[in-house]
Amino acid sequence: MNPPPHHPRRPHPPLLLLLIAIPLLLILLYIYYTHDPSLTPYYPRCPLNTLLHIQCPGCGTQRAIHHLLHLRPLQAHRANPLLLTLYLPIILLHTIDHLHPRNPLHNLLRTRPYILTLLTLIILATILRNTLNI
Amino acid sequence: MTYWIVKNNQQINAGTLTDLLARTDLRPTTPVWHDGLPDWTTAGNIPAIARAKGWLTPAAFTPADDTPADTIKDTPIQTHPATPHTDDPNLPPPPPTYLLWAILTTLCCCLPTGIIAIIYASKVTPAYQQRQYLRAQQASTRAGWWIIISIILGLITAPFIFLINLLTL
Repeated sequence: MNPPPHHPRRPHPPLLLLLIAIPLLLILLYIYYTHDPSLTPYYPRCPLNTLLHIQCPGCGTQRAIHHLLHLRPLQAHRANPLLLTLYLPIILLHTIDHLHPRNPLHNLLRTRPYILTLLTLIILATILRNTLNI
Repeated sequence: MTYWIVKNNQQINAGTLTDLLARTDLRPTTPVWHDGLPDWTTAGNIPAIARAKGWLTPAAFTPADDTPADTIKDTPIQTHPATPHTDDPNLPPPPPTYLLWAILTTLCCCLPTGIIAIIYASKVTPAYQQRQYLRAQQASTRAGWWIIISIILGLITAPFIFLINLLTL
C-alpha cells in the first residue's frame, strides 16, 4: 500500500478564505453601522440573557460596535465595558502576534498565568456587571 | 509494517520500525506515515517512535486524570532544561492554544463551553514545557473541539432564541 500524498502545512490562510472573509466582514460592519441593534429585533440575541436574564460577558457587544462605528466610544463603553478595555486590545495583540510570531510577547501570550488572568478578568467583570448593574 | 518518511520533499520508504529508528536524521518533526494511518503525522506523535527515541517522559503516556502526583514528579525532567527552546528543530513545534478563538466563541456564542475551551488552551504550554508533547497536543485538540462545539451550539440555539425573543416582545 502506497502512502497518501504529503501536504506540508501552509503557514498562511488560503487566498480564497480571505476573499470570502473580508467582504463578509465589510458587509457586517455596514449592517452594524446602519442598523442600531437596540432598535432592530433581527440581530442575534444572547441565549443566556434570553433564558436566564443574565448579562453575559458578551452582552452589549453588538450595541457597542454600533456606537463605535458612529465614533461614540463612551456610549460603546456603557453598552459593553469589556469591548474597548479588554476584547479589542486582545484581538489586536493576538492578530499582530499571529502575523509576526517572532515578537518578544509571543511566548507570554501562550502561558497559563496569562490565559488564566484573562479568564479571571472576564468572569470577575461578569459578576460585577450582574451584581452592581453596571 | 513499512514506514514512510518525507525527506527533502520526497517520500522515502524507510523500511521497518527498526530501520526507521536506526536513521540518524529522524526528528520529532519528521513527517511519517505507515499502513493504517489515515494521513501523515510527525514522528513525535507516534508513541512507539517517541518512546524508543526518548523524546518523551513516561508520564506523557499515562492518562491525565488518574496519574498520581508522585509519578509526574519522578519523571526525569531534571535531565532536560526546564523550558525547551521553541526554535529547536529536534523538538516538535508547540501546538496552538486557539486562545483568541476560545475567547471569541465565549463572547459570540455566550456559552460556558467557551470557558472550557479557554481552560484547555491554558493547559497546552505547561505540558509542552514539561516535554509532555502528547498531552500538550491533546489539550490543544480538546480546546479546538470545544470551540467547534460552542459554535455549533450557538448556531443550533440561535433560531430558538430568536423565536423566544419575538414571542416575548
